[in-house]
Amino acid sequence: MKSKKRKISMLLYLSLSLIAVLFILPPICLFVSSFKTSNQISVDMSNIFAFLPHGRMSLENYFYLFGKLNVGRFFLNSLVSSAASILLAVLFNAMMGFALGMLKFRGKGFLISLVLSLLIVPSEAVIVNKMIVVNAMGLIDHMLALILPFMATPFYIFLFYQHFKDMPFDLMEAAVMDGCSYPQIFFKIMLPLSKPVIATVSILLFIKRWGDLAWPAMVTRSNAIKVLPLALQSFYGDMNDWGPIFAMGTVMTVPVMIIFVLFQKQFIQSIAMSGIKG
Amino acid sequence: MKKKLFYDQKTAAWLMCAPAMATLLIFVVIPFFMSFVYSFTNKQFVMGVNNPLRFVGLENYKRVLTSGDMIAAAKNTVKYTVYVVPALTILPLLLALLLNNRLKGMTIYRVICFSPQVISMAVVSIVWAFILGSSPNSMMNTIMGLLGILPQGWLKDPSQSLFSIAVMSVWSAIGFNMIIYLSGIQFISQDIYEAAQMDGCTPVQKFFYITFPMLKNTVVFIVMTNIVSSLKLFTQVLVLTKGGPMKSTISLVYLIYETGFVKMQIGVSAAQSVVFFVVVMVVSMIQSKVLLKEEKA
Repeated sequence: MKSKKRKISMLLYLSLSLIAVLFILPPICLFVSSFKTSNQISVDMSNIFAFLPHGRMSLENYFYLFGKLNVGRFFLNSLVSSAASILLAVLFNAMMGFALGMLKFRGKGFLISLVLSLLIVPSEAVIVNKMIVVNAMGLIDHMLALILPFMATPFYIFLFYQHFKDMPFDLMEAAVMDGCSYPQIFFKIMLPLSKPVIATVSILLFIKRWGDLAWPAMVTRSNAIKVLPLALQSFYGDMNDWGPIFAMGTVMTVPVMIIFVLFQKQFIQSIAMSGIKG
Repeated sequence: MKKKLFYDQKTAAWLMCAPAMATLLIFVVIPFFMSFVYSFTNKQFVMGVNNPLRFVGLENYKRVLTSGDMIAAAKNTVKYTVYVVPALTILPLLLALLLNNRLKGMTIYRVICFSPQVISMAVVSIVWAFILGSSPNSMMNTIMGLLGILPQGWLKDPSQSLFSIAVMSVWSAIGFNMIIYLSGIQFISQDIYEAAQMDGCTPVQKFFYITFPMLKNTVVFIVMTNIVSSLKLFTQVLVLTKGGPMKSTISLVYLIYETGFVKMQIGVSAAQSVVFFVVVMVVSMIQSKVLLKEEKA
């Protein structure tokens, strides 16, 4: 009986390992190849060395990217626009979620149903006219175009609203008695109690902003505010020089992977809360 | 004076809603209504001097619904959905069942299977473009060669390009769906399984008589969310094929992007957007209807 159980679990480990290999090999190929020359990559392509350090490994591709192509700038642009979007989005979405969830005022029911109905509008259906609006504001090719439209999202408002709705009301009443204003209550009491939701919204928005291609492609022109996905795409279209392309992909992936490994549990929980990615 | 404002509940509430409301108004509500209005006009991004903005009635819609591009895009999007949705319903469920046990090391397997989800779609696309290279000694063609299959064109072959994109999308999204299944499975009470064990149920019986019926809601949710996200196919197409070869990968959202941004025909793209919005809305409505019904039952 015991040996049968052992056999089953061995079989399970074996099949899971085979599946895991399917998921882990493509990123490994990306990472390993980023240190090879383009020639070496096409030589290794048709054998197992595609996934192993082989031949002359160097940082040449990275020097090329950061030295000649100014990828450091693109990296910074991606980082700044994502970070600014997250900061403002957490603040504004949480503020509205708090007002809808905890305060009493006329028009609240209307605002809630407005947010709920905006939930089903896919951003793809408004993207072209969003560009027209941004153009009318004179923000084409401006960093603000990559930040302002993401300051509020119906889904994140909804997440905060649900969170604040279930908060104990007494907490707020006590604070009002003590002479706190509503913004004070929000910043000093409620926001510190909302860390899990803040983490969820930050993670979801980070993945979205960091990888977004369509919107930057539409509203940015110059290299000065180019972001990484756009650079990768135009770079991939221009030439078939796999070494630098893989290095670029690695530059884009490593930061997210580090955050993923550090906050793995929170990450999986957050992403399970919504269907991200197009 | 200013201080007093923040002590009044009503005023404070409106002030705190204001920034988010303004953002939504400017970047969602207004563009949304613009889509409806422009879809009945000849709006271009840059209006010609002798071609002023005017009302054209249903002309854009007629053009959109009969154009070859739109028909190709609709066909491709439906095809892609048919490729992707069954795979993303069944494979993650099997994986979740394998991973749902108390053996050591399961967390590591879960994290590995989930990890493609955090890689940006643009990066996933270029890695798979490399794997699915069309040269006879590309990675996939080498593997196929071992199985005795002749080298294929993959993304370069109009009859395989959409399927190649589907394979790549499935690879990237399995982990996400698996996590949702796992949380669904973990909601099922262990007592039921123990009772079944007492009655002498086999593992296969347990799956068909307990796990699967209890997971019905999760399955419906997965099917519906995957349909909606398949309808939004875009990044892969933009990076890899630009709709080609021979329009074999042009998708609805890619068409909206191409018409509105590349060709700058705002009116026509607005009509396409409205059509796309209606399709997504119908699917979402079916989803909420089915889920509500399941809850009542």
